[in-house]
Amino acid sequence: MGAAPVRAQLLAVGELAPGRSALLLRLPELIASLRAGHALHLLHAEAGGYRLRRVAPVTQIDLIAGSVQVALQPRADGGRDSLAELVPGAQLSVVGPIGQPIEIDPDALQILIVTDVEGFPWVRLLATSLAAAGRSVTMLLESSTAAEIPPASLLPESVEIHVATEDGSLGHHGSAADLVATYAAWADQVVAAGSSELLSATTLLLRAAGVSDRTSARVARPRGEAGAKRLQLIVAHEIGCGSGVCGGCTYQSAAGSVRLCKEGPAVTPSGSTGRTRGAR
Amino acid sequence: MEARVGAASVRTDLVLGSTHPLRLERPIVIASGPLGFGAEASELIDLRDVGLFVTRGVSLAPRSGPSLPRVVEVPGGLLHAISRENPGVDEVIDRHASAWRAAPCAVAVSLVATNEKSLAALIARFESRADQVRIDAYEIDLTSPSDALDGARWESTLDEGVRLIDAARESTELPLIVKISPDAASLRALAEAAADAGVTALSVSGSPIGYLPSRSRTRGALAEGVGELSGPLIRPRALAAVVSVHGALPIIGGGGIGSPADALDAFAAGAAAVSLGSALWADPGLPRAVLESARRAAAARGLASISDLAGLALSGANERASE
Repeated sequence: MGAAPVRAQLLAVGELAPGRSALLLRLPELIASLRAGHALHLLHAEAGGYRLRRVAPVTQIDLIAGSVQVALQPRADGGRDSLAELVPGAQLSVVGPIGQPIEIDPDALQILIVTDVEGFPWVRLLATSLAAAGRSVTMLLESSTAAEIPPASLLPESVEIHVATEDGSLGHHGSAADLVATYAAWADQVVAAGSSELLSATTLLLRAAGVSDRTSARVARPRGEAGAKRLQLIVAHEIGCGSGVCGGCTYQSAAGSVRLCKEGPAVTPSGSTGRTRGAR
Repeated sequence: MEARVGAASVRTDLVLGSTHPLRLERPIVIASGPLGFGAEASELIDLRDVGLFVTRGVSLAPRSGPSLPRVVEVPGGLLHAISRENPGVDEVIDRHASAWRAAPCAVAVSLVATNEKSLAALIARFESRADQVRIDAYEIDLTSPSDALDGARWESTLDEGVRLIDAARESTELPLIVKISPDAASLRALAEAAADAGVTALSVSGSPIGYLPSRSRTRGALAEGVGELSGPLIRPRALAAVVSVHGALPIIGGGGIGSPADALDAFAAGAAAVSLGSALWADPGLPRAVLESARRAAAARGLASISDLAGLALSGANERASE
């Protein structure tokens, strides 16, 4: 707890999707420790007065360049994020990694990712790294309209993308959850990231399809929690202490409370992390 | 202004209250909430710069919190709803009592009770384990919900607030700090009643309530709906509350303090000590910066103690306390 902040230099400000900012950082101290599912806590180091550290999921890692891309999550109040207005060369104070990596079963070869525009930053690195490891990845990507969809170039060509738009402007007319049943039997493991509605719908559909109880031909799993772990939900949070003490990101579930900044962001539908929990 | 006293010789200690006094080595208080119950706090900040650490709210039985989102950023601060989630008195003692004993500052436990009976039982529970815990004071949280008010805050009415204070006073001889927000009803009368009851200090560090719709405007930005506000947006209201109760009893001034200059404003408005909260997440060095700034400010005015800064703005010295 309480990792010391390190300095990062802002290399570039870009977009993951229209209106969704991303920052490219030079971050040599932390880069080797970052994995898919991790986030960073960011602060403009040179700003004075009252400040809050924002949670920014790691979306890309370039070990050779020593750079890390993170996404700025939209503020719940709709306000502009001052971090997006910084110019290259600015110094950021960074704490991380925040959370735990998303765990993928070593024997899971076919991974289904269900997400929306807000959840995409949490799973982009996962999709990229799984594809690089030779696993088959299918992404069901939901957006309100075609214009808001992240460009396909952000993912490796081997990732199969199926789009759903609420207004029907591209792909399936409706929710990405509508497509889940089609891929439920194919997937060895499912990761969902996005709105609470998408997570709930995905969970219900997979349960209806029996996925969480199905025993894979490759991976023999007992019924119950071990099977349920095959569906992981990524629960995002916006700000907080980053140290697990403030209670701001505590996710209440049937399995107990999960501090997303420490044990998250991935939880099973029952709310457990599937990891050994330390004393608080 | 030329300094007549060296900053290093300015006294930092103070004694709050008289009938149940509480001595603080430094006029810096860590507000209840942002840094947890105690065990983790010393890993986040240097408690040697602090006079009093106040724990997160503790109740007799475990209290669960609301769904996410619990914290969202708003212009000038944050909106939060943790609902005094805690694992209950026994688990808090088991996990954190050793940290309280080792703390290089005074420790107050913030008590959360929805009725007087549970408050008395909660205090009795702490005092029955006095051989294991070192508690220097209790904070009575009047911003927590009351059964008698159907979940509204104790501070919503003067009578309810005084009722809980009296119940606490009858239950312990330890110093009591009463926590209120700028939303408290009949602030001045409440402060005077607290003084009459033998309360040691009033902590104006509680969060006023707030609400914001989600971006889609189909629900609240917080899952809980209405939440509590922290940050610079509440600072002028918190300072007004400090001013309105000044003179009734010692005041711990908080609410949106994010810099040493903000802390000097709180002293100038009448606070004997200042309370720091969510600003510590971004700036763990804030307590020391506030302490050093206050020492320099006192020295620049030829004051022997930081506590002499309290109420400068109310005594005709209209210039803003500054470095």
